[in-house]
Amino acid sequence: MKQTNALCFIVLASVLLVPVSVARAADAEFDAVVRHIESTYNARRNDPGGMWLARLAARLVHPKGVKSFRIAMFENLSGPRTDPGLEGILRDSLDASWRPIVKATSRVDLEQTFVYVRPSGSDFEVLVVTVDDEEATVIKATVDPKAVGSWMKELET
Amino acid sequence: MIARSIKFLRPVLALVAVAMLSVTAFAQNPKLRLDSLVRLGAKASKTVEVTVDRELMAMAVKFLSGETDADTKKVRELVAGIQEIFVRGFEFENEGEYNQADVDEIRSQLSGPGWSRITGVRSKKGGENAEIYVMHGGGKVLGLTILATDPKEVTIVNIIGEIDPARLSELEGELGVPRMELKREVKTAPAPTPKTSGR
Repeated sequence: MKQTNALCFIVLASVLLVPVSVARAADAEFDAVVRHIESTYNARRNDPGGMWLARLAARLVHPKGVKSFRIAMFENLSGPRTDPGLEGILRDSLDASWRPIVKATSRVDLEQTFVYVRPSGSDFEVLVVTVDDEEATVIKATVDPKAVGSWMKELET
Repeated sequence: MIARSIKFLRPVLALVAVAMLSVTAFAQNPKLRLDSLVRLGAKASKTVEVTVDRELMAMAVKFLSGETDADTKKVRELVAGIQEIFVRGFEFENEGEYNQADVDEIRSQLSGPGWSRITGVRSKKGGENAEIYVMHGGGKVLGLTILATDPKEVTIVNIIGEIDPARLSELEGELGVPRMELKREVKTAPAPTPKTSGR
């Protein structure tokens, strides 16, 4: 069951290879999840280094259907080893248009991954939240439906 | 008197018939109660839940309908009758951390009315035992379930809606359905006896 890592890697790789501007608009859902991680794990956001380089590379590489994204990365988490409240926060923060599509947990790596999607015009909005014992990543992206399809293909149980 | 009683009873009998049909329809619900798997989840080292519910499936079909390439058309045909897909995967650190009783609740649902097991299908993945069950009703497939187990892993795929079991392998890797490398064993039928030409 390496699919959660694979999924996060694909989503992360895809969003890092997007030349379009990062969405900066007020985003209550994204911010609520970020605030929860900050407060629960006493964590501070890292601005992903090398993003400009990734964007430069993206001009040469065809992006994987990702049109816009926001990302928050956290390192050196402290606090509880597991966070049973994370799923509840997601449920409460996201309105009914968001559909939970993937939930994966690993007791070995203390990892939790949640993927939610919702339609956005002719695209999908995808929210991926992954937390392990050291790091956390929150990604919200607007993607081409085909990209969601290809990510789902990577989910091998 | 008897005729009047029958006349009086007719609507009552009709109601009873409707109620019985409803009960049958309810009993023939291909959606499994997966909450019984909570015991497995508590023991597993890794769990995965994929839920493609009715709304999500409708969204997927809507988006797929705009695409014209051959691969997408194939997937669209395949999922056209599917309403929902639920996948639950459990991985254990060591063999023997779960026992058959943990999946018996699922098996007991699959022994209920409407479900029948397809024989002759195996997983090519080493050591994995794949059981496939189909629910028929009204002359069509209402749902399908795959229960794949090996000593350290349990995977349940519950598909609600119309799907051709013969094309199940094409759904592997699509919409969260894991690759189980399902393969139909070809059973050779006895060769028909050639007709004597009468020469």
